[in-house]
Amino acid sequence: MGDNTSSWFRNVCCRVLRTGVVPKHVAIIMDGNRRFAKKMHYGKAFQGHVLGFEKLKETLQWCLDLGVTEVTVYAFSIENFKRSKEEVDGLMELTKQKIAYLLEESDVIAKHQVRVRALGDLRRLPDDVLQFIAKGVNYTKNNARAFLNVCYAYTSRHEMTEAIKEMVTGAQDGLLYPSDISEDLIEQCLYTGDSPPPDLVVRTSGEVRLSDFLLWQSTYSHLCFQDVLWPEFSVWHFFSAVLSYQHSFASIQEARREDRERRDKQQYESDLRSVLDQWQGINVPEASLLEQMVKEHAERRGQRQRAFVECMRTRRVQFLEQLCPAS
Amino acid sequence: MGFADILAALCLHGVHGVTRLKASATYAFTWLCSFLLYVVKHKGTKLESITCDVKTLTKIPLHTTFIVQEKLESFEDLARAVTWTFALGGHVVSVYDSKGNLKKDLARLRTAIVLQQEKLFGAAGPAVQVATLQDAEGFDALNKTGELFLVLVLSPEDGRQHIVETAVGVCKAVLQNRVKMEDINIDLIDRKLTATLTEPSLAIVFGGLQCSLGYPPWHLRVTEIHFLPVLRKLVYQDLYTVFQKYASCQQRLGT
Repeated sequence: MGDNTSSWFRNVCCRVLRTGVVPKHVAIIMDGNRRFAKKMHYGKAFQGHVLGFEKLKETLQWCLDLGVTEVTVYAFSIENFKRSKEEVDGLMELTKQKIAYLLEESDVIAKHQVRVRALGDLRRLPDDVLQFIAKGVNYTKNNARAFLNVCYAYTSRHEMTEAIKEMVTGAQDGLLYPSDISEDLIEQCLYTGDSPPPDLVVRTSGEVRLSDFLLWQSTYSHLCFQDVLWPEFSVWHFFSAVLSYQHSFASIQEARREDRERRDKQQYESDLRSVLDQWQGINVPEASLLEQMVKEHAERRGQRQRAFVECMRTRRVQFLEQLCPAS
Repeated sequence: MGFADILAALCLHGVHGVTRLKASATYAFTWLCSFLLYVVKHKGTKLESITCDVKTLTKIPLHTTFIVQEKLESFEDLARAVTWTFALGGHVVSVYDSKGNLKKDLARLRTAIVLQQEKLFGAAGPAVQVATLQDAEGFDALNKTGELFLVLVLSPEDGRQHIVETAVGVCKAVLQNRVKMEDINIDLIDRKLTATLTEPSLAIVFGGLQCSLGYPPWHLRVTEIHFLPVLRKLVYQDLYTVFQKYASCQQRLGT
């Protein structure tokens, strides 16, 4: 009876929250597994990670019930490779077990048509783990109703640096000009290039930093630092984060709008500079001709950028597909 | 939506509203107590009192950044916050204004900070330089000597756009064979982006919004981020409390 009442009340709260603005994309730093294991005297940190994964499943369900369509989680940082071999091996083994579960039993994934994506420098992972990840990603690649992005072997600075390298390679291959590099293009080159920026970033455990997670993407996100260890994160903590997002929504939307205006102005000025740099005449072209030239330059630039991004995305998809034997 | 949904909505938002009201009342009561304690204890914040507080801090951020959301009519509160930060042991303060207004009124900001410096440190106190990133190139960015207090004034152009400019520069360098493709790594990008603006150890976001509002993203990697209300309500005790929290934080850096 107690569980039914609690479940009823939770459903009511969920329906109430849905009357307000629901964040479409929630990012989570799932911090506190090891401290939880220590607090509960489990002996090994690994048990904390096992419970952390169970909490992730629960949280994913809460997100989907609320109407959140994209969830990005920080599962394993490049910095985490510095941990003890025992812990790192344990986490890799847990990853394989959970992907196997995903492929065979997950009703949440199937019911909500969730597409799972792995974001990070996956080449750093052992081959066997990489194969499991590739299988999991390919298994769900045709789902499109919701997205779960798992950041694995990831840091944001590495991600931004790789995006820069992609664009430089594109310029070397003649697909881009240096002046084509822009904030919008960098965003598309990030591992999260297919996703909108997160509306809400939650970090548990009481720490108040981003720890190299989605630094670029979260510049206009509502940040919520919660003083609860990840395995103890409850639906009430989640609802509280969403409520605080709803209270800030209008102001952050206004800030995003101003940022968009600044970026568009920046892009126009960049296109204008490129046109004037290429202009061979002695005098600056008259205004209407100049406008037309800028517009045409912008269209050509857009075509180059789209072709380059398409090429890059195809290569990234093929990298994981080729790891899966044809079924 | 049925009647039950509307009633539940009113109850939940009412509960949350009461909770926020209670939080506001608690905050107001705490603020009043802090203010009274501040008046009794400090009778105006004096350098000697702050110097005593510094001794209680086990670590102090070398570079603190203030992220300001509101349009400031007066720079006095901001200048006081900057000066208190220097008195608490900081050497560099960057002030990020999400609307870019501070850069347009740099001279007035400089005057306000110099005035507060003189009030707190006296005429013989350390000099303070107030500059944009572009003007500060070549300054001792880390201010290792500690003889100079540095205030860097930032705006959204110093954020993601700076990363774009760095990427364009690296791209041209590769095409001109001045840099090899294999030399592009995190360290190279980091050297270029942090030459003048170092990573802040501590960020304080003023104004109520829990958002970095376009602050240079590269630099927030492991920054401790705290949120305080609007600047005009800031008292020294609020800032000192944040410094105490910073001093007690542990950074495991992934290990």
